[in-house]
Amino acid sequence: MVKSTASSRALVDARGSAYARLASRVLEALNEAVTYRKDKDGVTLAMVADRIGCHRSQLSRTLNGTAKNLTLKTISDILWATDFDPEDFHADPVELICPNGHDGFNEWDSKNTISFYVKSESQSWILEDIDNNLSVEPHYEITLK
Amino acid sequence: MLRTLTESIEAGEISPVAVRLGPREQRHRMLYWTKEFEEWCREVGKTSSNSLVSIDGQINQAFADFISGRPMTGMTKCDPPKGGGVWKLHTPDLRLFGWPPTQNALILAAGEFKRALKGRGSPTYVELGKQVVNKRKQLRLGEALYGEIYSIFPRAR
Repeated sequence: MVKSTASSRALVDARGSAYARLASRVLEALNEAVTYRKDKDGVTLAMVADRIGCHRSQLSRTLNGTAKNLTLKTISDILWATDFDPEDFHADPVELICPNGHDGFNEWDSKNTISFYVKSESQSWILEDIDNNLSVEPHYEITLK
Repeated sequence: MLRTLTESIEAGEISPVAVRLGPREQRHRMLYWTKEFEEWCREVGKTSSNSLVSIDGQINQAFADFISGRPMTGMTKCDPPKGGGVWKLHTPDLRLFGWPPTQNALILAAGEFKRALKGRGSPTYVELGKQVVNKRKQLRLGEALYGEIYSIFPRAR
């Protein structure tokens, strides 16, 4: 029988780690929503906070996890203020479809971006990869056309 | 003469961190802790937190996000060095310091509460950095890697 050493013991139990993982994923998604809106439309954290009706520092504490309470209402408010919908966070596995049989490339448009089709389990999208990064992931660097 | 990671592990100076990963998370990076840092983590993990997640949960999540190659935005963050090749992991309440001996590997050697780093007469980032550099020299694992974050720690795809 293998003796359990201190090093093999995780700091937190399975239930605690499940909660921490959920909190981390939610905050990751909210931060990406805020960052996306800032990069795309120049909407600052202060503007998002203003729209929700709270101070910028309070929103910042919420986004980095130092605020004790994170309610569904707060999550909804941040998504609303960044013009996101919970459906936008639907991150099911996607499948790249190559309509012309050319490695997923469909066309180059005038903005020098690459478009290609992506199909998820629930819907088909045409995605545009702004950074010419050919990897496809359900991520906000990718814009829905 | 320089030592290898394996030699340091066999000597009991460092060990892979004990971490709980999510059901679909895989190990993309290696994370080690020194004996003293492990003891510190186990001690502070028992203290209470005013943040969204308990201290032990924060530490485990920072470890899990790093090891699985997550982007680390939001609750956990990873900062490249400002000097001395010392890298920093953030949790809401803690700052954890270490160095990468090789690509996609990090050895954690020091940590402190964020609130303690702001108080008067408290340990500073410089002091904690020196602590990490001293440990690095003591372990004789060679220099830390420098560079842009994704060249040292490429993200998992």
